[in-house]
Amino acid sequence: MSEKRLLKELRTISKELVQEDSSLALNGVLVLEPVSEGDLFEWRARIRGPEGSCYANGIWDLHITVPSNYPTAPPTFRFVMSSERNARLASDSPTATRGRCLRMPHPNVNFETGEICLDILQQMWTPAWSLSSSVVAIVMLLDSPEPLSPLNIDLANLLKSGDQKGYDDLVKYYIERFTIAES
Amino acid sequence: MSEPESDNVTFPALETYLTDANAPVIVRANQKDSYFENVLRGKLQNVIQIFKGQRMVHTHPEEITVGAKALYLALTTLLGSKTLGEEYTDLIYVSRNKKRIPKVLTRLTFILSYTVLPYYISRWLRRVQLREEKEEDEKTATSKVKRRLLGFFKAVSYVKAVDVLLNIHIAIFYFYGSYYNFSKRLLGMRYAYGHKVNEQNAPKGNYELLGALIMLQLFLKGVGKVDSVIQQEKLKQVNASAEDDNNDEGDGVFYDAPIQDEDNQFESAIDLSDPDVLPYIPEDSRKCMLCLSYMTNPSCAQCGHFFCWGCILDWCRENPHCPLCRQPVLEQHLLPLR
Repeated sequence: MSEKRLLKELRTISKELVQEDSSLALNGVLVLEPVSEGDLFEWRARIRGPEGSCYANGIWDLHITVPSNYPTAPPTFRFVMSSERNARLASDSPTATRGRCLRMPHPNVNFETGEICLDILQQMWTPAWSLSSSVVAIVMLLDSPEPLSPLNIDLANLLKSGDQKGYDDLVKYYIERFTIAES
Repeated sequence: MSEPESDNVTFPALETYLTDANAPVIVRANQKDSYFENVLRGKLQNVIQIFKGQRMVHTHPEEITVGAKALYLALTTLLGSKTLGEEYTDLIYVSRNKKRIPKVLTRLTFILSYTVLPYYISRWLRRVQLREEKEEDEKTATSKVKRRLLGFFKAVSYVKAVDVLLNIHIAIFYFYGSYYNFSKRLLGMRYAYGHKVNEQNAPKGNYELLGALIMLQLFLKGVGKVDSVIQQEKLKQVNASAEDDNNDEGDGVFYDAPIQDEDNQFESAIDLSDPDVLPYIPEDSRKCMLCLSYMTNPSCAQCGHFFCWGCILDWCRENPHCPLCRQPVLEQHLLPLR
């Protein structure tokens, strides 16, 4: 059952990604596809931070693992956080195209591992969600962090103490600091 | 050893003033005893928990029960005093002919056969059964008669046989009210009143009705069992002859059967990809949001949402909520649409 459903989802997603008014495109989902052709259970996604938020300047990659009993069990989403030490940073070469950001500074994302804490991807999961709606939910999570269940305590504390400006600037600094230049 | 005289001396006129206890009194004494055995078991469990830890208590529940029983009887019957239940109803043990009080050795044998023996027997039976099941798998080529006999014994498993035996024993007890336990019957330890009973208003009667009911139940069970065994044998024979026919006639018969089965399956499934099936469901609600395909065997949850039977069953076995509105949905409340 899961393969059949994933195949249907893939068909809808590839149609929606090229449509300009689809929810995927409107929410800054740039890529959502299986990692390799023959395997429907490993996906990757590329998202852009929501417009008007401190994340607007960043691009991130997500790795998605679909369990064999999907959609009864939720898929696992993780921000890809490679530590490319030798990578050329976008801030050093202003002319190059901005690539993806190597870290996700967010109260509900683990800064080291990229693990995401979002209730609908855990205990509140229902099969009514799909891969595309889950990715959209993650994009929306960026703009509405939940500091009460933090994975990144420092950022959550800034929010809890009401220092919105400090939070915004720190996030922007991290995005600049970890965005690589694409060759 | 506390009463050496009573062990050896016979009382010539004992039967004239020791009246047999009847079933209700014995049952009452037994109930009281089992209550106190339980209390003792609880205390023993606490002690074991303190010295050996909770794990021991959980891994050896049977052993603790047997130990508590043996301890209780050893402290009462073995020492020659009454158990609390016997004291409550004033009963004493007498020998089969009511002329002696059972000896220490008899009492010890009784306690062992009443507590430790059943424990070992049940363990042994379980082992034997396991081993036989294994052997059954390995065994392939045996003569037909032997196989049939084996099959019969297989059908009447040892555990069941012991159960039946014990039931018969209880029924006999209800009729005659003499020996409540099997070991007591074997050792001839029966109960008599420890006080003088006026013959006229002595409580008479046992549980004859109960005994009769048990016997009737056993009889009916036996009839049913024999019947089912005979039916099975007949079925086997029919199957065997059918197989022979198939082999003789060749391939044609083999191919017919599965195709028929498929047809039946197709008829029983309701597939909404066919617009003529359940036409009152509008096109945009004919797909199941769990598998994203047209529904097969559409089923309604209590909240009114529709899913494939298989999809929603898979989901609500793990999470008893509707995937769409999170209202509680139980497997048994799903309503298949026809």
